[in-house]
Amino acid sequence: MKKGIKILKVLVIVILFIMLLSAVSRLVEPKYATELIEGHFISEYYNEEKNHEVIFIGDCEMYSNISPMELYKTEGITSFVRGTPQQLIWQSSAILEETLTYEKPKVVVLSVNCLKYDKPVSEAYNRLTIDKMKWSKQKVDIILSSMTEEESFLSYVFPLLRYHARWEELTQEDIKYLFDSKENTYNGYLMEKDIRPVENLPTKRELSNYQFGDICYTYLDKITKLCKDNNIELILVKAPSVYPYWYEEYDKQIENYVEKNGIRYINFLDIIAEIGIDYSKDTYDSGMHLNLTGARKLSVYFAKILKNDYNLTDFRDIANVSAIYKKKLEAYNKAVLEN
Amino acid sequence: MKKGIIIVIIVVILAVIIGGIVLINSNNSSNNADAMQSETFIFKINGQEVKMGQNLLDLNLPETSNVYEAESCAFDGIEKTYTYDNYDITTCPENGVEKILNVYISHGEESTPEGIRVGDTVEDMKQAYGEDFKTADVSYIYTKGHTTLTFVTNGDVISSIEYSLIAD
Amino acid sequence: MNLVSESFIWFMIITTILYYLSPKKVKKYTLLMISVITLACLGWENLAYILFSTISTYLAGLCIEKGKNKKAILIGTVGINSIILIIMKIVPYINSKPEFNLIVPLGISYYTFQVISYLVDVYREKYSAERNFFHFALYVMYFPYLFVGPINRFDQIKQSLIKEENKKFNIESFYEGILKISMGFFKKLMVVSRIHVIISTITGDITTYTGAYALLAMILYSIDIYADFSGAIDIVVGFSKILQIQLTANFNLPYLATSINDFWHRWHMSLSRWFKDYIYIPLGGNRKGRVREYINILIVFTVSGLWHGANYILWGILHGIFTIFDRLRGDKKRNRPISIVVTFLLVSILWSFFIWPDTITSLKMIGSLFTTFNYVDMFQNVLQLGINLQNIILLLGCIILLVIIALNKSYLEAKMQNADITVKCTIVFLLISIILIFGWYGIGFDISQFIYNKF
Repeated sequence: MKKGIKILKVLVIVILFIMLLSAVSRLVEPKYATELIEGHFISEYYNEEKNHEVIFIGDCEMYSNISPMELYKTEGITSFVRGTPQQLIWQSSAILEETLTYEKPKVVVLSVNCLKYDKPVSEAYNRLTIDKMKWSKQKVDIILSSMTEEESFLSYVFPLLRYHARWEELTQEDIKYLFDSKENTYNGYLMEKDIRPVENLPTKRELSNYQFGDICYTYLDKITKLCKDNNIELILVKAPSVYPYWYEEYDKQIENYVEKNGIRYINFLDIIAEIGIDYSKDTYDSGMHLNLTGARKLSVYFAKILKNDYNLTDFRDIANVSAIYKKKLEAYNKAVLEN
Repeated sequence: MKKGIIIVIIVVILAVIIGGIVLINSNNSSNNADAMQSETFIFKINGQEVKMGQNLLDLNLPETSNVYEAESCAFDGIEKTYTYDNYDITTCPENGVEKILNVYISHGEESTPEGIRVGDTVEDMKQAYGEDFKTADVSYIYTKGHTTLTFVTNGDVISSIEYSLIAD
Repeated sequence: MNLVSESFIWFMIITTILYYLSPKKVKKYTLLMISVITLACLGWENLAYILFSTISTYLAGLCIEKGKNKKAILIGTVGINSIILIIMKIVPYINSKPEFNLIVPLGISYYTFQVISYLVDVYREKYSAERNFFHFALYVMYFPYLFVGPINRFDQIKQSLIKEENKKFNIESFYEGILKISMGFFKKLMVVSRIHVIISTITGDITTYTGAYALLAMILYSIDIYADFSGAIDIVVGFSKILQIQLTANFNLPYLATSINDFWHRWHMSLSRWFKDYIYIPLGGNRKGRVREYINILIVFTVSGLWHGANYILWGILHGIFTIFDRLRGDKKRNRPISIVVTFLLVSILWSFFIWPDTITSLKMIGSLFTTFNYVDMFQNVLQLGINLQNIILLLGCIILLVIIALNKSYLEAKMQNADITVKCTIVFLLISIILIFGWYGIGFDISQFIYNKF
């Protein structure tokens, strides 16, 4: 009996301290609400109605350049951009796998920019992709495949181990969004309205090696197989970003790959004129990403291709979906008109 | 008296040892200082030394209108690339300082202080810089201090030269 | 592997589980196997050198006990092991040349001193040579004390390390061990990490930071090196406590010493005793007259300085000189508080040789204490020394807490013995929570190795 009471007392203390540390952990974790908002993108998918016929996956070349609202407005296509900053190919693969546990789209569009990277880039970018993912087998896979040398798996399980030092930097955001969150995208699209034209570009540098790493092909194969096994059409795309340079040698490798695997590849850099992109007005960072006007042009152009070539539903005629999108469009159009 | 003698003996021994140690250490310090001076690759523009990591604004370089700012996807960090006729200089602006990260030479008459330019052969490079390099595909990478000097080749010919700051 | 690291925490957890799951007679072999595997994983050099020391000493011990050529075997084995140690001490200087890249085996000083003490004790017939090779190997290779010691005598550790077989998991030992380990982490992650930043700032600019800044660095370094070293020992001793292995104490409130002589009876006690028993006494100790006694003291401290590194010979000699002065002064009655403060300041000033990178700069900094009186400037600019106000307050709070604990050690230990389980658990969890929230660890905090690791 005495021993039992002792054990109970210890258990109570343990539980109390776990609760205390959990509360502190929640307080010090970055909220990604008004600062480093890109860290929140991955989680903005979870509360969505899972009725997307098109899923976009990739890095900032995806979430800056494609607006699902424009796809819906013009062709009634339901879509979501599961984009995160510096998303690497093995992360794209895990994110696609995770998405398929929620729904089966008809088309998956993958940005090929990530194939340039065959090693983890930085802990900071990993965090922006991974922190707000729901725990799943895919999250474990992503962590294990993405960790840089200085990182530890435990720091993802217990964020306090990573973010404890933020006790010195707590802001109002940390209190305001302690139990709440803020969405900053429109179905995964990050709206930027500034204009910074392309005036000149740095010298195009010669690389010593243009070959995509073996690991990139491994995960590209995985994505291809995942789509084939689930009867999903896969489209590889290169965004119309004029910098950093996309080399011909990269393009050749993609073309060889898609030919071998029967996949479609669209390099938007080759059809800038057709899309109507004007780099004096349509970019907010000198050609690295499109701004709202540029993204709209690209999205409208791409929507036509998707509608014509893939058997997609026009959800504007479907009551329950159109009701949801009506609300989304209200918010989106309001943001478009705001200064 | 005996205590005094002991103290004197100890002080004398101490003085001799300290003197010796001071002498040895002062030699080491000056040797180290000399070694530090030449411990990094230096580029030259119009006779000015350009070291990776130094402040570009401290240099008196010609003006150029070809300046490109590349921002990161998420962070408050940008890189600025200044393009001149024969070379590009990339900097990282921070607190009023423009830290030089990289100098890239791809054509023209610009040569390294050791006399190597684009178009020279790998053999010329080895003669100027020696055999202490690493290779990565068609690149030859020399490291000195906090700088790497990379020669990208096309066959036997140097097609570009790049000085880079090694990240901490 | 660092003592304050995720991998060492896992090491402690796995070792504890395997140890207590092992049948009673197998426990020590489990511990030996874990030590061997861990050493091998850290690099074959670590295992190779320690195996050589273990085998040579084990065989030498048996031969010495047999009686033939005892002296020659003792001198030969001690000589070889000492030469290896000396070579390894020179390795950092050799490695400055790019063609050399030699690895210094982990714990070489600590296990070399242990094997030498064992051989000399067997030679002196203090105890019999150990016949069981695996028992002896465990004494040499017990992994945790390879990091920072303490240096254990075979007869003192044999009972708890090897002989006691009927060990069952003991909650009291477990609690004491966890508390001690937590204290070690607390010292390292709350105090040492923060002090390092301030000292790095001061030593980074030797033109600006002289006088009062130098004194601040010296005092902080005193706290730093003690917290760092005793923190590491706490982790090693604490973990050993969980396994119910009693290690020798290494510190006894060193900054409460009333003289330099007293300081060396409280600081790194296992090493001081080793120098006394295996260098000072064989040289004659104080049995051959006053002059010889003082020469012997000087030799011991010079060797001690050398052991720390060539840059520290002067440090060793100065400690020797001050020890001699204490002996000359005799047992005169002194004001205890003043003696403590003076000794602390003297010890702090002598730590200069560890703070700045070379002897000349250290001497210059010591000199600046008497020529540059920039105390007002220092207080005005204390927030420019690398850490902000919140962290300064936290650091001061931690130092005060450690001082209070040190001054009331016996009282607190007695209280904890009788405390309710709720109180005990609360204290440990509170300590761990403070470390988890306010500790300087993880990405962005460079937890450099413990200072005494490199010896």
